[in-house]
Amino acid sequence: MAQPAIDLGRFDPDPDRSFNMPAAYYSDPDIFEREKQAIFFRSWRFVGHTTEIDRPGDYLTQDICGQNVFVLRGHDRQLRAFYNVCQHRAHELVSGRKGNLGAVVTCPYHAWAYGLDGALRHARHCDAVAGFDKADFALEPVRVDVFCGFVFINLDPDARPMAEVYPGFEETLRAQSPDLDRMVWTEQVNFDIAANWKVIAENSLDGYHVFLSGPAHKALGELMDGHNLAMTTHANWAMLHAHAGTGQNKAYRYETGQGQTDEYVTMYLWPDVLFFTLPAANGLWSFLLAPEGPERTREEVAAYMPDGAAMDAATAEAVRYMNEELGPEDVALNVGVQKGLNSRGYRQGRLMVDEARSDMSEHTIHFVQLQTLKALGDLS
Amino acid sequence: MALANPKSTEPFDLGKFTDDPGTSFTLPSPWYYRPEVYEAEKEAIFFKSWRVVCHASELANPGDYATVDIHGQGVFAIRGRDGNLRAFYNVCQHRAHELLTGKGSVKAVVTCPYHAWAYGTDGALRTARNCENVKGFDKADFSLASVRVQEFAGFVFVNLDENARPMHEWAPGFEEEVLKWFPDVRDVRPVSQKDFDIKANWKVVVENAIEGYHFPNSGPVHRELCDIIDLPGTKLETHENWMAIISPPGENKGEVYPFPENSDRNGHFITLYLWPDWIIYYWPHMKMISTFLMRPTGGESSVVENAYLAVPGEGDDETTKAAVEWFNNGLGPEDASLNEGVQRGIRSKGYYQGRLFTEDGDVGHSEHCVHAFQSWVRDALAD
Repeated sequence: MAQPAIDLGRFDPDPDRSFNMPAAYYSDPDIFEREKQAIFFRSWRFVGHTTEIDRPGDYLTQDICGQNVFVLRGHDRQLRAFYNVCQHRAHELVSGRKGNLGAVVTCPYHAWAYGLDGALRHARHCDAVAGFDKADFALEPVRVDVFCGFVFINLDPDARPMAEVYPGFEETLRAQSPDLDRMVWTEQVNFDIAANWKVIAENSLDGYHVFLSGPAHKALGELMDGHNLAMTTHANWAMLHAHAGTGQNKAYRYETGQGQTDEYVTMYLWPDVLFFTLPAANGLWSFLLAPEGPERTREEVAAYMPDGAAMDAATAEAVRYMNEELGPEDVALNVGVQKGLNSRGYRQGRLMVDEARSDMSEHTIHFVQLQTLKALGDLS
Repeated sequence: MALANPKSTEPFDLGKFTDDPGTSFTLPSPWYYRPEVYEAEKEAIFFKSWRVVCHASELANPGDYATVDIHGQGVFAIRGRDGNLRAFYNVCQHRAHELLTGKGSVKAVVTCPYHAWAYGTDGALRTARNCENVKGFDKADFSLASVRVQEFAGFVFVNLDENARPMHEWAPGFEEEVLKWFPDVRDVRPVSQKDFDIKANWKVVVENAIEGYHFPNSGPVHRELCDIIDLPGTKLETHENWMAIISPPGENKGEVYPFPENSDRNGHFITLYLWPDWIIYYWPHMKMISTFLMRPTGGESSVVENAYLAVPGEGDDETTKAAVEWFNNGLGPEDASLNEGVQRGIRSKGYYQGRLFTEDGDVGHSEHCVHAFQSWVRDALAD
């Protein structure tokens, strides 16, 4: 199937010896096309929280590289997902990130109406159309799964359930964030970033830059006692974990023991979503990296509060720091990397992996690259 | 009635363009809009030519640097602590972050904003945190990738082609010509800059700058130009990779801008064009020099970076200020409008290639410099 399009150079499956994957993997349109087919059309894609879609008729949409899908709560309380397209003349059925449809899904073009189970209910004038059978025009279903209280979809009908794909992930996240099922979407910030999705994924798992880049990152290092940062890789997921620092830092002030957690945790689900908790902050964050082109990514950062409670002062401060300081600083780093990856003067960089897997080791970066190359079938 | 040429969108077709300026037509219109041509020009012209970075005085002291972007290829030139001028691709050899932005000065090292890898001003990797714990890591493997750099005619230039000929060999006589007209070119300093966004192919902009045929005909400010220069006495010379357009002083009967009384200043209008994209300009009697960088931003868009430089303490007189004002708000916009009008015409199905009007004797209204320029474009893309 997939042919290795590019010489991997000094990339090595062994993280201790590996250089970065070749720069073409971050910009080549053909490789991006292969990633769509082999990765994004076959992986579980984050959609939102189950609490956002609690009543019958509630829906959430998500776009996977141009394939739009909506997830729907049925009258039978089942969650179902469908390609967001009318089976008549292909108009998109629902729009916006979320909403409620009432009893039927009605197409805005010719008012074909589908039940919340996807079956075609009404198609005006169909009784006069020779041999027309409504049963032939049900909506095209998409796999849906609930994992850690969140809703995910998968365009691959044969995809394994998430609990199998990501063993151990849910238990670990629940231990950090026991209120997972009660989390309610509170606010969201989207960034449009001129960088390949892997640049951003790698940046999100990168402990090496924490103390070394800008002021918001140095503050992050203090906030999470970054010198004790543990970074581990697992089956299709990875984790960054540190205990809270002193609370006397330049990110935001807090007293330990004040919030839901005193841990800094990043949990990464290959390929494109991360969850965060922050010290003393009484909530949870999701971080979706939705690729829109080889050099463009839509980043959706959403905050959740248990039972939708108002944010306390420490949590609001954490959100402000994330959205206004750390986020923009990381966006600038990612754009700066993308520019450099296109340079003819960039050879293959060395991944700075150390044997101790210290807080500065880049084995998590290697993990993103290895997963990508495996999925593409580019490892010989 | 003539029918539209059936090949009218074919890139690289030469049609009636020939080597003889006396009978040649222009390059056909697809050369000015087809993406294939623009892409080929990146490789064959812009990645192989000398590109101005800044005035040499801006890199006088150790640690001084200036960045430049050549069609997405970031480069910086830097004055080393040893006094040598060097240039490098603007990319960290670790995870590819861009190293420097704009212009400025570093103390001892160039530090990457991402993971703080630090390079000496000679491009050697000095520090990479935690590298002592990385198996087989050798700093010598991660020096910055160097780029050709040269100081020439008072300015700093870079070239992505490592086999490029030195500028003195590549454009013989250019520096001497610059020094002849502007003996203080090394003493000037940047004063101001005005950028013109022009919706036209970069070649349209260049061609507009190297012919005088349009001066008397194309608008009120151009007619003023003909008053301050002697158009019939104008010489247009082509040389190897450069051109000189020298106009003797005109009468300035209409007092286009005030000339100084009894001045020993140079009254000529001077255009010294360096292939492919740079010009030193001079307006009669001003105490400044002006430069043009004609920078393509797409197949049908360009930015002209029009910089003014003066010897410190000079250039504040009435004549100079009036000349700058006359160009910035008069001739410059009028030329920009002409260029955009050409680009719209280039797209017309009713146009394919026109006849070049050249005349022996390098006279002011002849278009032989345009023909030479188009030959250089053709030759660069033929290789």
